[in-house]
Amino acid sequence: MNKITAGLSFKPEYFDAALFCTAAGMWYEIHPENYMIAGGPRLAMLDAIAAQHAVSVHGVGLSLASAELPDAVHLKRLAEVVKRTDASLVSEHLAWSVNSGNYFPDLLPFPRNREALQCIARNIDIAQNALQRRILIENPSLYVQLQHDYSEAEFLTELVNRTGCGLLVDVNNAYISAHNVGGNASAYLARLPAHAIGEIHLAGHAPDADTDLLIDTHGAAVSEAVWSLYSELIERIGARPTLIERDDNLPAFDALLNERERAAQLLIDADVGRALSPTGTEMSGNAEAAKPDLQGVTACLR
Amino acid sequence: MPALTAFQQTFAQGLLNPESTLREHFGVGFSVYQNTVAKGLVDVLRANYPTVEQLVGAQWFDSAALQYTHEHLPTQPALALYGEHFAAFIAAPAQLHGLHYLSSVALLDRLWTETHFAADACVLTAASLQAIAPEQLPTLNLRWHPALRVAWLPNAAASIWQHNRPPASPPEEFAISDVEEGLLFTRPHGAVIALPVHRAEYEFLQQLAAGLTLGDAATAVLEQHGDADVASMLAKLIQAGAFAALV
Repeated sequence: MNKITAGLSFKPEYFDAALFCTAAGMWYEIHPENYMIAGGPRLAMLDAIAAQHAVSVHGVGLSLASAELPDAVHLKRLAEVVKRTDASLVSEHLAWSVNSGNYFPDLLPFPRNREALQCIARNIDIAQNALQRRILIENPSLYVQLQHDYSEAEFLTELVNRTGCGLLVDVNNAYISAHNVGGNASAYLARLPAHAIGEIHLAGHAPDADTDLLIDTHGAAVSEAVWSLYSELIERIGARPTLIERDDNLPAFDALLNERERAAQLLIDADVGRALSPTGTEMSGNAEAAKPDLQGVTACLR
Repeated sequence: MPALTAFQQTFAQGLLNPESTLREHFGVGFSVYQNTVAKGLVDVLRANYPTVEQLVGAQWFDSAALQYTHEHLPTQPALALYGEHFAAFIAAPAQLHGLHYLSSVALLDRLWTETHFAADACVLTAASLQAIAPEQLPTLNLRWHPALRVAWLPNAAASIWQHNRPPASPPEEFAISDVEEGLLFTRPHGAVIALPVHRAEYEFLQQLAAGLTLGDAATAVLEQHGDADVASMLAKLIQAGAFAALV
């Protein structure tokens, strides 16, 4: 059985180094929207990566927190990327980005209330049905204070219970949100249901030039505060596939490998601490072995 | 109207309006969302129109691109081909850049992108054409490869584009002659290539695209361009990967 390991964001700039990387258990995460194209070298690059490494498909455009239904064409194209890469994990965000037929390239906030819960649970059901698999939902980074009826941890737990979805815990987002809109990141992470967590994201952030806010830039190394929260999280829940997420201000590939190695070592330590994680999700070189159990998901769909 | 719908409509409208009062309502964090949306879309246009930015500079480009995003929001999240109306947009009188060929350059950037992301298909090779009996050649229908794009422009945009498209650094001096020029884009070995074409070659491709057989297309071109060497034209286009393999 393969170990749960750490992976990296795949960027075309890193193609050669990424393709031939021999780090044990290396996997890559992609944004499927970048590959919703007819053909050409970008798709050829993806095919080459997917032939050598496990791939996690991390969508940004499904707009699950929209009052509107997910776009059927987009879902179909997402399913094509998932199939093409034989994706080991599929994830999306607790956010919206589509309104009245317009797409806004961001992950936008909403008031966490009963109406939103119903819409999002419905949209996750639709997505999981279309993809025929469980998806993981990521906690967003927040910049505005809204009137909420649920805490974010309560809201995510409700979605897990209603849809059978899993969670992608972005530790950096938890840290940023706590800083920007109040709360305690450590306490927040402690309230997320361990059994549902299927992946973890680690990324860097930056202070906004004009305000006191922290911005989720994905353009810097992971901060020590986030590493510390990460250690705390995996000590509690056990090892989970962990991504070093970097989208901007790209450093040399080796610099990312070093961060990935740090996460990989912490995962081993977490495994040693918990000889066998009973609920861990595998992220292995053998994508088949890593696929979530569809039976369980389907049973939860309605 | 459901509350979530109303919230999202209001929020979405505010995202595009720098004067939006939602900033007072939601606090300074609202501008983080405004900035992310604007930067995201402008960056896609920057990636898709690098030669335009090279010619006009980042400041003019950012301003025009931002204005474009307000008038042409994407309608879906796959943004590889976003910006299809940008060439026409910067040709409008409201866009004062003073470069009469800029819209043509934008069109060439656009065609490059379309070629880059077009569907894969086997290319027609000279060898496969040579295997066909000579008397059958005139009756052949040659199909464009899905990645083939070609433009004929009323100015020197093709030369300007070729000298300025990043990563090429712009020449210190470049004499712009106002001759008509043509440029084709193909992807014979994966990477996009740009190749200047003559008027006869451009018209030949248009005739083939219109469904004329190889023989009829050649006749039509020779009527307009008596000195055209059709065999050489065909060899050049085949070598460039302009046609899809015969089915």
